[in-house]
Amino acid sequence: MTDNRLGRRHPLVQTFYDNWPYVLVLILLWRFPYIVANITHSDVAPDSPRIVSEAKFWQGVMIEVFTLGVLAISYNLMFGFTGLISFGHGVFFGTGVYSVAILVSEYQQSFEKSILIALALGVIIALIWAMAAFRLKGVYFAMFTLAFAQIFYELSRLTLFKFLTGGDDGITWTAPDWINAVRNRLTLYYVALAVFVFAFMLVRRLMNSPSGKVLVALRDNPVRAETLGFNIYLYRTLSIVVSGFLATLAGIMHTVNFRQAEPTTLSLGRTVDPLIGSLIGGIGTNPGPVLGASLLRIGEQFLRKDDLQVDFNFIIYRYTTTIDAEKYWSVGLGIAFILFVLVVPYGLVGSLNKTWIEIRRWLRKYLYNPLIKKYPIVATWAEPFTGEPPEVAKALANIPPELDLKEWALAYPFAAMNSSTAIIAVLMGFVAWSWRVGVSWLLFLLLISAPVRMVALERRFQKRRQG
Amino acid sequence: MDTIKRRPTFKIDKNTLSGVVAIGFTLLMLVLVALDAKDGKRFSQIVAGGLYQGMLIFMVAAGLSIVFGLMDVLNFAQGSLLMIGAYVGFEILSSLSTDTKTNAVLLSIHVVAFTPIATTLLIEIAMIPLYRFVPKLAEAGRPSSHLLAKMTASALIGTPLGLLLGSTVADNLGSSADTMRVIGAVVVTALASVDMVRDPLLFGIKWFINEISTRFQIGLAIIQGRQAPPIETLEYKPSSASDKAVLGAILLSTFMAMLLNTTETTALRFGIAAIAAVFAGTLAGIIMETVFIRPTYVRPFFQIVLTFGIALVIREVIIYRYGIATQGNLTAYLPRGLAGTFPPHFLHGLFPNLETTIFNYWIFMIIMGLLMMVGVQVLLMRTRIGIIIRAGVQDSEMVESLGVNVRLVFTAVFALGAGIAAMGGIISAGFISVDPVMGDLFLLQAIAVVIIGGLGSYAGTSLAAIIVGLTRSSAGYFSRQQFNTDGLAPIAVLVLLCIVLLVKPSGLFGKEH
Repeated sequence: MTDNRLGRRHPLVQTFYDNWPYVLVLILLWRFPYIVANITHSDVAPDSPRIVSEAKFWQGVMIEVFTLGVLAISYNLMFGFTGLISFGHGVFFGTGVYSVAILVSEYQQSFEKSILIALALGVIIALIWAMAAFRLKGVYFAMFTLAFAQIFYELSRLTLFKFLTGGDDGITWTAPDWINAVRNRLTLYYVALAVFVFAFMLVRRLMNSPSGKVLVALRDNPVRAETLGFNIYLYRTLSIVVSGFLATLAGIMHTVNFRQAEPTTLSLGRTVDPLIGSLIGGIGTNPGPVLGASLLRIGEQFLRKDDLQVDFNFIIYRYTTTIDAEKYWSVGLGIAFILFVLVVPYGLVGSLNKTWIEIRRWLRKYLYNPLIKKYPIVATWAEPFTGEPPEVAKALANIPPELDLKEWALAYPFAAMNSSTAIIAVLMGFVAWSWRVGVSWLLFLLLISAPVRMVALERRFQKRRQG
Repeated sequence: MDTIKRRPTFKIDKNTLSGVVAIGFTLLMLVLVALDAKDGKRFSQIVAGGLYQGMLIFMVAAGLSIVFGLMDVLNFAQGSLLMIGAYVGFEILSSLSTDTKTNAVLLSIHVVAFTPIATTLLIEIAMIPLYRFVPKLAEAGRPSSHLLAKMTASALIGTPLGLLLGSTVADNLGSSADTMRVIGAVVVTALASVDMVRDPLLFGIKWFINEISTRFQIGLAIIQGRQAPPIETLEYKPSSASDKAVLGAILLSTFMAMLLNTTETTALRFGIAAIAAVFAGTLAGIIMETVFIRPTYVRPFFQIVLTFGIALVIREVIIYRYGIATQGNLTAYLPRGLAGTFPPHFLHGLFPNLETTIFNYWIFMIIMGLLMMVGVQVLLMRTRIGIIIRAGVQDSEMVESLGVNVRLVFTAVFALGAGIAAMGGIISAGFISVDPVMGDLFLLQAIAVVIIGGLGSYAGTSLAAIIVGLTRSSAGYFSRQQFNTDGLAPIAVLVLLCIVLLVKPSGLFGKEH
């Protein structure tokens, strides 16, 4: 790495810098069932499966959010990143749903085995799509996916295959106890969370890799990508297969959660949901589709609950009316769809990114530059926010580079463990008259000083590079 | 050099080949059906059923095809336009009066507004050969287009809007519904046709003064015994063919209205509903194009998504207003006094001559579809706007640089497609059930038709519509025979679409990309 910016921090520190919002959200999601249980004063996992406490209900909602999130991630990989319009994501979703349900209930296969078979089927269908993508592009590919998915939808509804698919009624099956949404919803919640995190990290890693950059190039200018020597068909195949795999996974999550398979899981609606989610959150961004999908599902829970009481007192004296929220929800969703395409085409996250770049440029020009001209030391304080390399910030602040860093770093294995920390710990222990309190305070202070120690580590690392 | 002769080449055009294959496929299918059915009655029923389905699908696909050819927009909301047509027709039919007399009056108002445009168009069409052979006539002037547009607008807005307005006002005020309906229709028609009446009126006055003054000047000269001034020096404007046509049309329409007031008019209610439906569809198309699609010409990805969203909104709004349940066809929704009047009497029952189970309404649908097919073909091939559209399909930038307002043409073409789809809606509403998903069903089939025919090729779309219709009906027949289920018909079409896409991605008659 010749670029100084890339090697400026210890990789661990850099990872933390880049991902702290995700880490925060992950911790929140990890504690979510307990937080809700605390707020609503209800059981996290009630003893009887028949009791649905408030906390258990919200776990169910979040499992749906994760399912839709994985589907949206998968859709965004094809539509947002690679530029392949798909109108048939339902076929993957439905493959996951139907194959697990059929294999477990009709053929008495084990749950794990049927999951593997379902994923394999999803990948096979994705490969068929990829073969179609050799020949078709743009609108034609979209039409192919639409027709392909509709064929499966119609087939699943046929009375001809009622012995297998159950026709319009669908199939009901029983998930194993440890992951059953009725008996053991908390476990299912954590499994769903794990799958969701896996999908998110997979696509994020893929899009940050060189292959991911090629996928984006395929979206922006396929001819140029081909001219540069990339095998565009190979990369399209990669995108479709990963997308299909993830969508099948989402379908499996869905069927495990609801323990049934019905034709709507194959329908066009399974394309519409992730599409709206991606549009609202931001097409072609990593967190966008997930954000949009979760907004949709959670918003639905709040808005569909009961009728909205609208108070027009501020316009007409004592005039209140009731709006049927369920009816307005769908219309509002469609209108949001159009508005987002016309007004916010990059979605919430995409627009925020673009706006944030503008704001930063503006701040740098009118606030930061004049400020450091007057008070150069500000450059070092603002370094975490401006994204300057530390050396540049120091140069701006007229601080000569420290020379005795090595000594300092070696002397402080616990960098923030200075006298005041120890004094606080001892004092608290004295006040509580318990050595346990003292030790826990010590540990706590060590924990919160972790970033500072990481900085020390990083400096040591840099020193070694220079030396 | 002389010895080298050019060998005659027997190269078959690719499109001709695919056309032959397509027609061969259809014929093969029909032969199979005929062999299986071994029954003329059954066979003719299947063919007629396939044709009417093909025609209905064509009405959605026509707009889709032209619009895609001209502006590369694949409009996912075309099925919703069909649905708008069906529901508007339903709305108009159920707001009609139960009193025959009132309906006659309403109809006559409508005729007053509508006949001018029909007459002018008729005259225009009749004059085409004359214009060709007698160039002087062409120089004399043809009906001016803006006048035509105004008349169209007034004719289309007039009665249906007045009808709705009148019945709404009557509902709210509690006055006599029939009176209010008539008043509403009169007011709206009058408002819409102020411009239309003003022009000929002014012309008439001018013409009268001109005639009188010219004759007076000539007569004066003769009386005074001097030579009459040559006619060119006088302020005399020979009346053009257009203005005469308009005057004649207004007289004719008044006469027709008087006639209609004295006759039984149940059959023509369909006309009102159809015109209202077409108008609503056209309006929706214009709004859709100007407001929503225009900003996204530069973002083709989002265009598809956008039209998809529009379709969603229209469907949800219809569900909000009418509920999600299947409505049955329109016959069930007429006011009590009008029961059995829609579809009109002559479209009820079975086709009499063949002793088969072919409904009269099927024949009607097939005829309307064929009329549309031929009409659009004539429009594309024989008129000026047709030339512009065809040129635009080839190279719209060049057309724009030649001074044609391509944006306007885009809107017009979009509106035309929307109008045809809405027409398909009201026509299909008389026979098949009206529900909020009918748009999606038709859209899928229409997309199949457009892609099979080749995107942007109108003739291909027409042929593919018939092929798809026949495929549907014969696949339905086979699946009923073999598997005792109806479900294989749509699957057959989708499989056909997949095969065509994979074998010849640009469709039967499409240009290779």
